[in-house]
Amino acid sequence: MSTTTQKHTVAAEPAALPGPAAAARRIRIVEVAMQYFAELGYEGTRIDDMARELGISKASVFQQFGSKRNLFMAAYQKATDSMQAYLDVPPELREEGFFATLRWWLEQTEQRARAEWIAWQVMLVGNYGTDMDLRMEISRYLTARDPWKTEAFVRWGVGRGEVRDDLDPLLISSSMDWMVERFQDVLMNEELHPLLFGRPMKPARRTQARIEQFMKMIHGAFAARKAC
Amino acid sequence: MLSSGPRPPAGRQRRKTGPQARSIAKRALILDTAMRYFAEHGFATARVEDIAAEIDISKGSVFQHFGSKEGLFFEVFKKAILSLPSYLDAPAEIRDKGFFETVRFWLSRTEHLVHRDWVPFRISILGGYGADVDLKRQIELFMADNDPYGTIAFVRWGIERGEVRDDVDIDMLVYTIDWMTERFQDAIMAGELDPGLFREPGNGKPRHIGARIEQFLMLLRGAIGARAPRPPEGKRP
Repeated sequence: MSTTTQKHTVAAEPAALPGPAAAARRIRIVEVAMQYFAELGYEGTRIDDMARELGISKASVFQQFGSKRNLFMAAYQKATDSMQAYLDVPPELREEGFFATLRWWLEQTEQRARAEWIAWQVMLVGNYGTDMDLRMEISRYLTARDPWKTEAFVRWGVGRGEVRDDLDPLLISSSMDWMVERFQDVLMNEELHPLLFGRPMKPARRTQARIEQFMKMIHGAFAARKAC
Repeated sequence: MLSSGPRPPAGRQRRKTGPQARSIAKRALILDTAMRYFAEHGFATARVEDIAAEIDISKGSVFQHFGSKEGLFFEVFKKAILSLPSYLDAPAEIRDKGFFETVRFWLSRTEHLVHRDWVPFRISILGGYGADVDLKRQIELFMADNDPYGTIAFVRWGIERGEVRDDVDIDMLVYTIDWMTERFQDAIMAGELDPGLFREPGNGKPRHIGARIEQFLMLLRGAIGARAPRPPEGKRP
């Protein structure tokens, strides 16, 4: 599944040593890179330090990946690979429908962000903490990769008659991704989301109450019109 | 509204008062040069030396005024953002048509604004996506404290007109409209941000921007618009 769109991976891959040893090394470099990017951000990560921890030379990292940028893209892609699709839920939950499934995922936000801290941080760094060109590349990648399979989820919702069918499902998917991404920022606290705690919402609101409010807006935006 | 008391921005010093008109002029010149420079080169690869060289001053002199590249960018960002219009700056005849018409007005002018205000627009995008982590944090705080697009006032106005829903906290509404329109404008502007969606494959031309705006407004209206005047819902004791 995760290999279907892998064509879009690191573009300029230098001819690396073939063979399982090289592949294993590559995987190991990406793993360590994820930790570094998660903890130090993009600018803050120094390839020298990483290479030292891996016991290899900086040149050897560059030989494998070509540039810090490519290395970051590899780390980012690995992070998105670990994301679960919206429809990846128990069947009994799915039967409750589109909006119930979405709500369930939102309720999992904090717990998942803790459990998959490194992957989430790498994605946050990619979304907010890199440079403009890299951000563009990431956006293109996300559109092609659709890590949460939002489009399939939306089409499923349309098929069930729950999601409106008078708008392009792609626009619905993008908008939903935007709204959910930003809302999840809100649900996370400073510890989980050190990049973005600048816009605190009213502290009195509990997570559950915020989710209720958010779901009202989501429902208003995306639910099927009863009688148009 | 969102003001949270004095908060000295890190790495920045208040301008000294005094007769240093030349220093003030120099500061302004550095800012203008840096704004154009960052707009063209981005943040990460920009070199303070090159900015200084353009106006024949030393790198040290830039640092003296702004502390660091981050400090310089932050000042540039503030200046750029404050030069952009706020929602309620729309012409009166547009405002008279209401909240969503005003949103439509700004969205449909995105391309025009991008051409007219290319430099500050580009800086606003850089600040949104392409800065480093500490800088991003300062920018978020600045946006929260200053609400530079006047979104809070705009949403309150929409609620008073009965066009915007009043059953959701105002900060959630503000957050949603700011974020969604920002992303949508990025997509219109950059194309690259959402190629499958906003670009015709092949010719790379934005397609049906007008139609996209209509669809986007339908979504936005659904999300934050007042409910149709049906029997009042959920108000039972």
